[in-house]
Amino acid sequence: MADRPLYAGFDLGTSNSAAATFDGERTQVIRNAQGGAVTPSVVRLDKQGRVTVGQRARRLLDQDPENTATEFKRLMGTGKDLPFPAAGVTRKPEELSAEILKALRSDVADQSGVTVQRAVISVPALFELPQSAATSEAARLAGFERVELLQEPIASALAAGWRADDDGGGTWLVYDLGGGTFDASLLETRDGLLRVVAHDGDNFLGGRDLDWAITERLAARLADAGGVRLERRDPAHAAALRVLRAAAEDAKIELSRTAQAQVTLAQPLVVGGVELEVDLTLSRAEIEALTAPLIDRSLEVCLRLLAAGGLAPGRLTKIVLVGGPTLMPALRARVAARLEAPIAEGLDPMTLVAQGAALYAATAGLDGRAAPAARGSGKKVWLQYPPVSADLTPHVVGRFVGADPPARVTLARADGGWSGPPAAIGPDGGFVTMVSLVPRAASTFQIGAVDAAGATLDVEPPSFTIVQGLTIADPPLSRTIGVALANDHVQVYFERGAPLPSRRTFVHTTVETVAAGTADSVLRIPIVQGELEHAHLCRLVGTLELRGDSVDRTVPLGSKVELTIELDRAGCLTARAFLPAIDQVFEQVAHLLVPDAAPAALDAALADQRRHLSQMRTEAFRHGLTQVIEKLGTLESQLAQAERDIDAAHGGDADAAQKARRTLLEIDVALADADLARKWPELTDEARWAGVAAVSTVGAFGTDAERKLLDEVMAALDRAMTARDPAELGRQLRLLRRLTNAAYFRDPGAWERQFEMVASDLGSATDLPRAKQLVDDGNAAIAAGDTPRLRRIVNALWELMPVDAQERRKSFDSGVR
Amino acid sequence: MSDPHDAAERVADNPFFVLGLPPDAAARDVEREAQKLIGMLELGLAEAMTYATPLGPRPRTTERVRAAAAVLRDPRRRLVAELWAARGPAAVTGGPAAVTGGSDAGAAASPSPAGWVGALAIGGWGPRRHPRLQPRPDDDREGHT
Amino acid sequence: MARLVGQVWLLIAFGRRHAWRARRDHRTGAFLAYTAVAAVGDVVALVWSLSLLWFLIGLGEWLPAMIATGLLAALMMRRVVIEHVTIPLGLFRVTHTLAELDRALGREPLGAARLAAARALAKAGLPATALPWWQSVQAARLGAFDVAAHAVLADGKDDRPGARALFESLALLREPAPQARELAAEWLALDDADAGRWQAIVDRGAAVARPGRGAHRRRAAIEADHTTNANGPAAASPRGAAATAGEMLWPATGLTFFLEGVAGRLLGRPDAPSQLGMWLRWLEAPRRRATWWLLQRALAAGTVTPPAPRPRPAPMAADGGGPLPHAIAVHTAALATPTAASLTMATTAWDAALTDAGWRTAIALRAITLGARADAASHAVDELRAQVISDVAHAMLAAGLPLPPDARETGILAAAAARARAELLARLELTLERIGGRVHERTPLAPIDEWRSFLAVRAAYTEAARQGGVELERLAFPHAHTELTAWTVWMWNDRGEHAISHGMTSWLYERALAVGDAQAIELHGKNAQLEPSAE
Ligand SMILES: Nc1ncnc2c1ncn2[C@@H]1O[C@H](COP(=O)(O)OP(=O)(O)O)[C@@H](O)[C@H]1O
Ligand SMILES: [Mg+2]
Repeated sequence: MADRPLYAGFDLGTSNSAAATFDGERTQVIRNAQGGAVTPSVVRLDKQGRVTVGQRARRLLDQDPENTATEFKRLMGTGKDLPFPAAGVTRKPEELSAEILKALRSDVADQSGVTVQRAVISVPALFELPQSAATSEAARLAGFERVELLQEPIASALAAGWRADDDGGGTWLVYDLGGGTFDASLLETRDGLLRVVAHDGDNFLGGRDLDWAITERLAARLADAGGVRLERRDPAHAAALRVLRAAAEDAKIELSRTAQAQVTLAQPLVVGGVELEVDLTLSRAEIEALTAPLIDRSLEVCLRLLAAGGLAPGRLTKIVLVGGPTLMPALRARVAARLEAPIAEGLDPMTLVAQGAALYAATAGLDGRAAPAARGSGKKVWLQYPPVSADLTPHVVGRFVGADPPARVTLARADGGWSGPPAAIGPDGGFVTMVSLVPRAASTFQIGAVDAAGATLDVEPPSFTIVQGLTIADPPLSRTIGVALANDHVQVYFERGAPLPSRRTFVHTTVETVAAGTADSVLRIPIVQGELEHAHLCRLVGTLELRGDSVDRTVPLGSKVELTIELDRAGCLTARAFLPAIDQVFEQVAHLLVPDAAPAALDAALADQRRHLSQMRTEAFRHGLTQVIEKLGTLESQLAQAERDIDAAHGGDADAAQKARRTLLEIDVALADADLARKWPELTDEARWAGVAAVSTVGAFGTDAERKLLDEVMAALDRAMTARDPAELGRQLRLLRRLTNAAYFRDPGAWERQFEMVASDLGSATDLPRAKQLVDDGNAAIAAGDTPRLRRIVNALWELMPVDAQERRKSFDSGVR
Repeated sequence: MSDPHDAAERVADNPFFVLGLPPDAAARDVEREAQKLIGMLELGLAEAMTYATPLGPRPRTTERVRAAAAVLRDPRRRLVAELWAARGPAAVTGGPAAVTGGSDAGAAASPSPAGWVGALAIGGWGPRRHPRLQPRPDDDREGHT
Repeated sequence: MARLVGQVWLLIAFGRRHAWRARRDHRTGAFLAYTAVAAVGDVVALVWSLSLLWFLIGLGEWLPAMIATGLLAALMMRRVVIEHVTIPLGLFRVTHTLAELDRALGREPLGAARLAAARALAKAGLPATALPWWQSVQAARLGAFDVAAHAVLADGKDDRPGARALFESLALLREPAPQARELAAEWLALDDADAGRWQAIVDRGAAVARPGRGAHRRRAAIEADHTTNANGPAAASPRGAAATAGEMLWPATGLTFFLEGVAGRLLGRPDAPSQLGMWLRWLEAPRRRATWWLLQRALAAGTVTPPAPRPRPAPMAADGGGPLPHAIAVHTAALATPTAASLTMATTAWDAALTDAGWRTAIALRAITLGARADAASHAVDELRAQVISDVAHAMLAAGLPLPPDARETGILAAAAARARAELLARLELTLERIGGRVHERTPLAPIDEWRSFLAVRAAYTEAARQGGVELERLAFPHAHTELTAWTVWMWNDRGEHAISHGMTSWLYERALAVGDAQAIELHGKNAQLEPSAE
């Protein structure tokens, strides 16, 4: 069977990883040395620095947690070093992932005899660039020559669709509840082609949340039984809670099969030097009650997704369940009932992703075997054909290399069922023809070539194979990528769902001067990922910097920058900026890591938002904006959730910290919206009053030209109000004020009134003694009727009043528009 | 807002023009054609290198083909593309020159006399040596396999 | 004796100065007369020097004779030596030292020496090793000479737009700096000649000093100019009252004078020089061999009538297939060559197409066929409209077309114009905010880079005002006024960069006059009267 291709796919999971292969006919799940279909994503480094991976490492997780790492997938792209004190080394998450991949790769080699060089690795649908790049790096460290990344829901759907007997299209929901993440994807199949319609998810919902819910219940029962109350935020309780949690998880898994389970601890539970007696049982009903709220949270996401896809529940063709927790019977029943759709049966939720990845490796033409050396002596031909095709009659394109190509080629299916018409060879040695495939099977085609005289020629390669089945055309980009602009907007380069690989160029304009030879004169082009409208709410994934010390002439603001961003299927982003004005290219992208969420910083952000929120509420109440008040109410509860997560972050839970960071960002978005809703009535009010003042002042003291202009401004003001355009309203308002002011100060009494106004607000002056002196002078000037002098004094007083500093730089300090 | 927008792009990069298909092409044909074109481009076959647009032929790249197919897979985006393709890829009547010199071209109608080319250099200005800039590589061409 | 020497020098200077004036004013007779006066002075000086030498040699005093020869050479030939020996050879240090002698003689500001050195530096190919020395001779504050010197260096780096912006910016500076202006005028004229912008050369010849320079003297005249402007465009004259009072902004040199003549003749202007005048100008200009061809062209041009305007092509024939294909065709053609006419045509076609019911029903049916969501058809139509508006707006901006007045209409053209206007303002506001932010944070750039930034802002403002008209400028000005005034204050009060601060103020003053902002006029008018301190 050496002639068969071997396509390999890997599911690098948070809790469990798996591998599968596809040989063009069948998928096969690779079993590890222990005979398991899944390998726990656990890595241990012992004193000698020896690496243990998988089930054996997992068993040591409870005994030696310091030197055993798991769930490092969640830290991918953060650049965080994980310590292994016994061996005295640290490892990056991608290095640990590489260990898992190495183990899986050798399992594949054991079973298929091939050390795969090329493969597909699945990643969560919402992975951002730094995380994808780290995954590619892990594959490189594990020794792979080339990998492509595929989103997990697509992999699941491919595997599910490949198995399905019916080919009739429809809309599927892939429900993937993993160890720590939940992903829901809406996919559509039509004509054997898979398309992602929409995606949603919760990065912080998974089996471990169920575990914690159970653990907390157990802890409560222990406390009731007279023990200590175990608290997550207390670092002293961490060890005991870990033990309890492991027991809870085991019980949960057992309850997927049985109705009653005993909580058995792997180790004694020791708190403060005292061992706790634990004798607890859990029933399935109890677990169901505990997990129901969490499952409902996932269902809310699903319903939101269906709404976004314009689909009523019940219109789904089927639901594909993926991930360990979906083995729970209660969950399956609840999901099917709520979404009113059948669950696809006969699929293994634990290995479906790996199988899909292997199938996709075939679509992408990533044969795991090392490229065979050219053997034959025939005419060499390059071929382009889809290794997997949904289309029953796809095109095959070929081109003969070297001089003297054959005159005609004929393709014939090896099973003799089909033979194509002879295809003429073009002047550049190329030909295009169609072939006919056997449905849902592999078809091999022989290439027959004849020269002008009709003599048969040998061709190298002599044949090729196409598999007919479900495919996905191009892996779509999971999250929008763009450039943050100086006005905090995003110039989108690649929209979510854009086919990869991709490249685009846009021309930007600088808004800052880069002074030649000045190291601290830097212009930043921030590259961000995310779908939010405001740049600062998106994830910063890299910056391109134009430094003053790397340009040989000053680049004045307003210069053009041609920025090209390129993205490949392995999550690798490259960017280059070309400045025509100085004919220089910049390519150094500072790739950024997922920012660390330090608990202290989170505390500060939380306090900040609290303050902002209460401020807005007071305002909203004052103006009686019921809608805004309602909105603020929901934000309140979100803030409470964030606070709980920050508490956990203080207890050392990096994951909760990330979650809190996300929540805070979301609140920020909502606050910005609410802010606008609140500000608009205020702004229009202001405009109206300013209009009234302007009409009377300009009417009394304005020139003819000013009066004419005022009419225009008033009309423009009205238009801006009807169009609800705050920017335009602001501009017209500014003009209106200047007009009013100019007229106002023609009134001889104006300066006196101004003087009184400033003098009454003396308390806030920056230099009180001087201000007092000025007020005395002013009074003297009024008494003397010396208006010019009074004017100078008022101006001087104004200068002593504080200016409220504006918050100017928000959008990652972007220097381009 | 930035102004990176090449106004001609919208018309010229219409997915139907890129794929050389009529606006009522079936989804299956879109896939088949895209797959064929990508194959041909990968092998550098001359036939596939350009496509017709109302603004004259443009270079076809694998990225453009992929992007075009992706647009046509989404019914909502496809509808908009169909509207823009309603006229077909035939060049606009008389080409771009047909509208030059409209009513506001009065000043430009009598062209300014030709310049004194190289005046600055003759006057002793400019860099000491005149370094010729290397032409930038043509980014848009696809590498052959 | 010393008085006599002084008088001869004065005679020469007087003659030259009036000769240039006369040339500009096309008074050929006066020009010849004043040149003769200067020449008499030259001859007197020469005869006098030679006789001194003769006298000393006759006495057999060889040593004093040689010293006198050296001194005379240094005095009379220094300019020649600098221009024709040290600068072309790139001897920047020697150039600087020689040019500084002028200062020692109390005649010229030190800046001229730096300018000369910059030219030598550019000729030497801007060696990196010379940078510390160059830094060490810089003045504490930026002046007109330094701006010109930076322009020269930019030119040496082949940065023509950069050089151009800086040279042109001399117009904003009050410092007389005639050498710098002459040099700038030559460079600008050559650059314009290169690009065939002959009109620009003529205009520059006529330009007089701006309000900033001696604003207190000419303010009334300019204000009068602006009021007439406001009352009726016809009243505006390029050579207003100020022209008679003001100095030439770009003093003539032999070269610019010749190029002005060429430009005038090529453009067929009534005030172009005669054949004889052209010959005289050519004789006065340097590099006669290189300009011979240009002279011939100019001489020939006077006789040729300008070519008849090209016939206007017929409007595009309606494309068969209904209003939508027609709109797309016109739109496409308009995007290829955006002009006010083509865009108007396109938008009219769209207005018709978007209200056409025929294809709207077709698209609704298509949506059902494609299995799209219920709202897909209306979404597609909205999207189409939005895209058309955005295309037209961007085409207007990219081509720099003047925006149609803000008519309170519906329709695609009005929507696109509104979009373009908002975009122009938003861009400008963004730039101003950034500057304001920097000023607020007191983050300094090198003075020349501050000046460059200002020039870039000014260019953006001017372009926006040109496209959007006075209506847009009125909206833009208050913001520019706030942010830029803070900048000028910072530059003047805290950083002592009086020259460039004054340049900014005088520009703001001019814009305040243009939009009629009474308060700003008062403020900047007052500030523009402050005298920048000397170097
Ligand atoms: N039979 C089971 N019943 C319930 N939960 C299970 C079962 N098997 C595994 N789990 C849970 O599934 C989670 C791991 O799921 P998995 O899909 O492997 O995660 P990931 O995709 O994140 O690697 C763990 O929280 C584990 O407790
Ligand atoms: Mg998983």
